[in-house]
Amino acid sequence: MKILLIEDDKSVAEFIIKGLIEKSHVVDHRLDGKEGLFMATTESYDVMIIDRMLPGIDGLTIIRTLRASKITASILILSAMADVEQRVEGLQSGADDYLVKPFSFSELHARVEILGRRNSSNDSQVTELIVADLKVDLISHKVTRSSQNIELLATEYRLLEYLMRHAGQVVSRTMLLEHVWDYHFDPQTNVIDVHMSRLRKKIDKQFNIPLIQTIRGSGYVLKVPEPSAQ
Amino acid sequence: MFDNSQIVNNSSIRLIFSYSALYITSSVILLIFVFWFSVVYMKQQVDHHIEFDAKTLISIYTQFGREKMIESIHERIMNEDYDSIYLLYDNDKNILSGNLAKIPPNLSSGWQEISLNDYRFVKTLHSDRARVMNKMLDEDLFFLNGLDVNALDSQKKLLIMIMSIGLVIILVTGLLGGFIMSRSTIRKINIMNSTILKIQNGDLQLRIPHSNTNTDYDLLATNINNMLDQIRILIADIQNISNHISHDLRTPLTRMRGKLEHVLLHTSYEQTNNILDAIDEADTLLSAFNAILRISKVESGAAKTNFTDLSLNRLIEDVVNFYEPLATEKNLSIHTELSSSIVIKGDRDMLFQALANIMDNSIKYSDKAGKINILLAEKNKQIILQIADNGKGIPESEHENVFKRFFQLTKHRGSQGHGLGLSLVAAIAKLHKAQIQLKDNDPGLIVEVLFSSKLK
Repeated sequence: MKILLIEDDKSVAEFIIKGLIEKSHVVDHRLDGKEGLFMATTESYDVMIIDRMLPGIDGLTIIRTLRASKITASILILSAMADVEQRVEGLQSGADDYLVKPFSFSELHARVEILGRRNSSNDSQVTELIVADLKVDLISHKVTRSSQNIELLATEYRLLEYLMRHAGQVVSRTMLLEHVWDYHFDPQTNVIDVHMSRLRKKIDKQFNIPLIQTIRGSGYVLKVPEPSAQ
Repeated sequence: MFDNSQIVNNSSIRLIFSYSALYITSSVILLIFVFWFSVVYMKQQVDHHIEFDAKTLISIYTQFGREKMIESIHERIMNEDYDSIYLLYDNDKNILSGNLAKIPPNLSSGWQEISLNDYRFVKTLHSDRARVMNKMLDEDLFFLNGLDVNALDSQKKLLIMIMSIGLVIILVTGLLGGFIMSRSTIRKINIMNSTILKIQNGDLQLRIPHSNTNTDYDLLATNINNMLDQIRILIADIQNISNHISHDLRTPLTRMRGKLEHVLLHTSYEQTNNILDAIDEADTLLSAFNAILRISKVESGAAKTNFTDLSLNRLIEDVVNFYEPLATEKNLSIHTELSSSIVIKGDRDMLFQALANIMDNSIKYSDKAGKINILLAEKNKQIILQIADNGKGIPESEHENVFKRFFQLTKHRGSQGHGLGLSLVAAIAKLHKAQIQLKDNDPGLIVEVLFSSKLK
């Protein structure tokens, strides 16, 4: 993917760029708003990562300008401001996702991957999600694996649907809290792991190939394991 | 807490009443004094008048004899001076001159008051009493001279009437004056009180309004305002310090975590676990710093802008749903007893966080196969939210302490957690003007959050 990073904190930028190149992305970096906006309007990017507070032109103004000139690349805002109101303001300016500083690289990476893929796929017409022999019917909420019916509780279903929608991508615990439970908060205990192990029992236990994998220090991914990893 | 203004009103009213009472009592004492003096003075005047009249007549007698005196008395009676009483009589009780028909019985010599009854010739006046002086002029001549006291009585009545009117005026001016004078003070004190209440509830920017005159009230208001400025600076300093510490330490920690993640990609399998452990440690530290920043933000009141209508029932159900697997894993049962839908104004994420922290503790400190009861009810204008477990509980002596930052019970030290969970709960409760109480469930702990119904 081709990614534009507009971030004035050099050490933060360095750590993002290093990580993204490691994950074989192409990254352009600009330190201030003016130059960043220039790059964003002249080059074509899959994802733009824009800091909210920038010298020159601030992040939200850049995003509004880009959206006004019909540039549709996915945009992730980075901000030290965590209020719901500020989050909403960020998203209303035209950004697709909002990440509060400080963040771990794996969190940023997971979000960038999802944003990059959203642009290319058109999932509004999808009525069924399929990974290997696991099927989720988005209309009837019916879940089957190898044609066997799997009964899931409401929370488990939402968890699985989110993982299936982002199959192959690492999703962080924070992303799960925001999308499955719809609360921004900081659980003291890793309750999500318990939810996940329950889901695993139903999805993976009686089958040969485990689809849900834990990525320690990052989160979870639902995918068919590569043969070399086994 | 909200009855403070009432107390001020009561004490001010009491002040008005006691001052008015003092004013009225002293005025009444003064009136009585004036009345008494006037009466004594009037009596003296009467006596002087009688004495003077008597002296004149007696000097006529001594100079010109009995006949001349009788003539003079007669003259006076003819002048229609009905108030004066004259009687000249001899030893055999023969009336020689005067305006009384009979000699009143039981007459002694000197000053006295007599009853006139039917003794008068002309009954013009209503009074039948008179002040008289009885004097022996020689062995066969007695002279009774006096004044009808009716005039005195009517003057007394007039005086009493004037004084009653005066008393009414005093009562009215006393009460009205007290009321008017204290009203502006009461109003000022009420404004001061309501401002202080708002400041107590977290609006530290407010100041007590005052004019720039040098009255006691203005001086008091100015001093309180200066004190508040000072307090705000101190609070800001403390918040800045903890914010700076958390903020400044968070950034290098994040970078360290990033570097560890980076190293992780290039390490052998044996080293992987050590690095992952280091990442976990970094995450624990980060979550502690996040909690500190969150607490100071909640305490500053800045989070109030995110208040929306939310259903407490729904919130509790979501928290229970979130923690149910963790409870089930420990073989704990969760019972909920929720009243019909209660909607309040609050910060949804913050309240979820608070309930999650309480729930987390309940599960953490419950023994296997324990019970957690959640109750939501509304009574006496209060919304009660109770989370009760039958786990290890908290000794009553420690109930106050557990809300302090970084506090952990000695027996829990070394276990996971940073001792900030309940501090955050307390801060969030305060933001929602809710009271939080810990009670002994014997065994176990009851955490009770009391929201005011006004939050609805």
